[in-house]
Amino acid sequence: MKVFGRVFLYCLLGVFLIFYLFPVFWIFQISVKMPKEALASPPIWLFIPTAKNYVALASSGFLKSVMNSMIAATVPTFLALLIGAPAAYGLARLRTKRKEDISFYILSTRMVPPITILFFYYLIFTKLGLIDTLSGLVIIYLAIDLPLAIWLLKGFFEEVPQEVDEAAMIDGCGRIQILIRVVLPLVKSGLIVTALLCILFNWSEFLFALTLTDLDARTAPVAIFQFLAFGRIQWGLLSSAGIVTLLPVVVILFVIRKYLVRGMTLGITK
Amino acid sequence: MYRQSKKAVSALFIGPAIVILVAITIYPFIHFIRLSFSEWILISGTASFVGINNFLAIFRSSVFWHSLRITLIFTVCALFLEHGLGFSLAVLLKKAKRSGMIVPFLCIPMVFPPIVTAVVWRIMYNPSFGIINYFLSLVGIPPQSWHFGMKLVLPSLIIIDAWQWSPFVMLVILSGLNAMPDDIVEAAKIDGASGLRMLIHITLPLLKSFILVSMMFRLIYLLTTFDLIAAMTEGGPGDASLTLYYLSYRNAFKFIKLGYGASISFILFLVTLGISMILVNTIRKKA
Repeated sequence: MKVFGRVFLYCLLGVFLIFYLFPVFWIFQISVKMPKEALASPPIWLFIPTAKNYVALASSGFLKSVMNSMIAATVPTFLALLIGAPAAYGLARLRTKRKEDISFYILSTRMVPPITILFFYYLIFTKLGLIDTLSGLVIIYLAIDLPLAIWLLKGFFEEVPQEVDEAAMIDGCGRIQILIRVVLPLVKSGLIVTALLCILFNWSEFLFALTLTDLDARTAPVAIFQFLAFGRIQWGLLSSAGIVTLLPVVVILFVIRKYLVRGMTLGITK
Repeated sequence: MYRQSKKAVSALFIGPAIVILVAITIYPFIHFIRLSFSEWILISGTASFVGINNFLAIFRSSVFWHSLRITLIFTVCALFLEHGLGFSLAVLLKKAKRSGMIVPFLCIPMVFPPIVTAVVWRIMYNPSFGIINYFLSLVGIPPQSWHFGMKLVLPSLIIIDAWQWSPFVMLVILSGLNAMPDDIVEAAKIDGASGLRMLIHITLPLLKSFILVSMMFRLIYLLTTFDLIAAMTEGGPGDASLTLYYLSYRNAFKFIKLGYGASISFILFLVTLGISMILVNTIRKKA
C-alpha cells in the first residue's frame, strides 16, 4: 500500500512536470523545424533539426532588439544599485525620522498599476523627443527598479549584524567607509540577486516598451509582438525569437532559485 | 563628533534616492491623478479640468460594466485555479523525498517573458495546427477555436495564466510548509490525525498568512494583466476578453483619450489600493 502511494505520488508529480515543461519543449521543437514540418497536423515527432530559423532570425534585425533589451535591462539596474544601496543601508541602519513611512512608500510603488505612471512619461517623452529612445526606457525602468532594489537590499543589510558596523566604527571608519569596505562585501550575494531580479523584470517588461518604443529602440518583446501582428505569421522564426528571449531568464532563474520567492514577494515570506 | 553629523550622513545616504524617487515615481503619479480629472485635447496638447465628468461618462458606458464583469470573471477564476494547482503541487512536493531538485524546473513558466508565453500558447492553441486540438482529436473531441472563440477565450486565458503563475503560488506555499514547526505536525500525527483532517485543522491554519500573501500579490497582478491580453487577443473576439486594464490602455494609448483612459486606471488603482492596504496590514502584524 505504501509503495503504491509513493508510485502514485511520483506519477502525479510527473504529470505536473509535463504540464509545466511541455510548452518549453514545444516552442523549442517548432524553432528547429522547417516551416512545413512545423505546421503539420498531426505533428511530426521525428525530424531532422535545422538551424534555419535562427539563421533567418540573425539577419532579421532581431539582434538589434536583443541589444536594446540588454541595455534597457542592465543600465537601469546598475543605476538602481548605485543610488539604492546607500539608501537601503541608511534605512536599515541609521536612525532617521519617518523611516517606516519611507519604507512603506517604497513597498507601495510595487502595488500600484504600472500604467498609472505611463501617462506622464508618454506625454513628456513625446514633448522631449524621447519616444523610441533607449534613454527614455532607462528612465522609466529606473522608476520600477529603484524602489525594488532599495527594498530588497534593505532586507539583505538587516541580516548583517549591527556589531560588524560597530566594530568598524571603533576602528575609526566613517559610515561611508563602513558601507563600501565592510558591509557591501558581506552582502555581495544579495547585491547579485537584487541585480538579477531587476534584470529579470526589465527584460520581460512589455507595457512600457510597447508604448514608448518603435522601430529604433524596440526591445525583444516588442519585436516579437510586431512579428505577431503581421498578417502571415512565421511561426518558426517567432519560436526561435522566443527561445532567444527565454534563455537569459531561465539562466537567471537557476542562479537565483533560492531567492526567487523572496524577490517575487518582496521578502514578505522570507 | 559622529552624533552631530548623523543627520547629515543619513541625508547623504537616503537623500538622493528620495529626490529621484519623487521625480520619477511620485510626480508622474500626481500627474496621472490630475489627468484622470481632465480631458486631453489632442490638437492643443493640453489637459483641461473637467471634474468628475470622466467618471460619470465611464459609469454610464456599457462597455465599462461589461469589462468590469470580464475582469472579475478572469481574476477570480484564475486566482482559484492558480491556487488550487499551486497548493496541490506544494503539498505533493513536501511529501516527496528529494523534490528540491525539480522545483526550479517547475518555476520556469513563472519567468517566461509574457510575450513568449503568448507565442507558445498561440502555437499550441492554433485551430489548424495546434497540438492541443490534435490531442483532443485523439480522444474524439472536435477541434476548438480557443482564444479565437467567444465562449472559450476567457477559459483559454485563465489556463495560460494558471500555467504561468501557479508555480509562484507553489513556491510561497512551499516556503510556508517548510517553515511549519515539525513538533506540531508530529504531535498531530501521534494524536491520530489523518491526512485530510490534518490538512484542514493543522496545515491550513498554519499556512494562512502565506496563502494570504500569495493571494494578494496575484490578485493585484491579475487585475493589471496586460501582456497576455495584448499579445493573445487584444481584448477580442468582439470585446469578449476586454479587461478594465486593457480598456484603459486602449482608450489612452490607442484612441489617445488620455484623460478618459486615466480615469479607468484610477478606478482600478483604488481597487488595488484597498487590496494592498490589507496586505500591508498583514505584514505589519507579522513584523
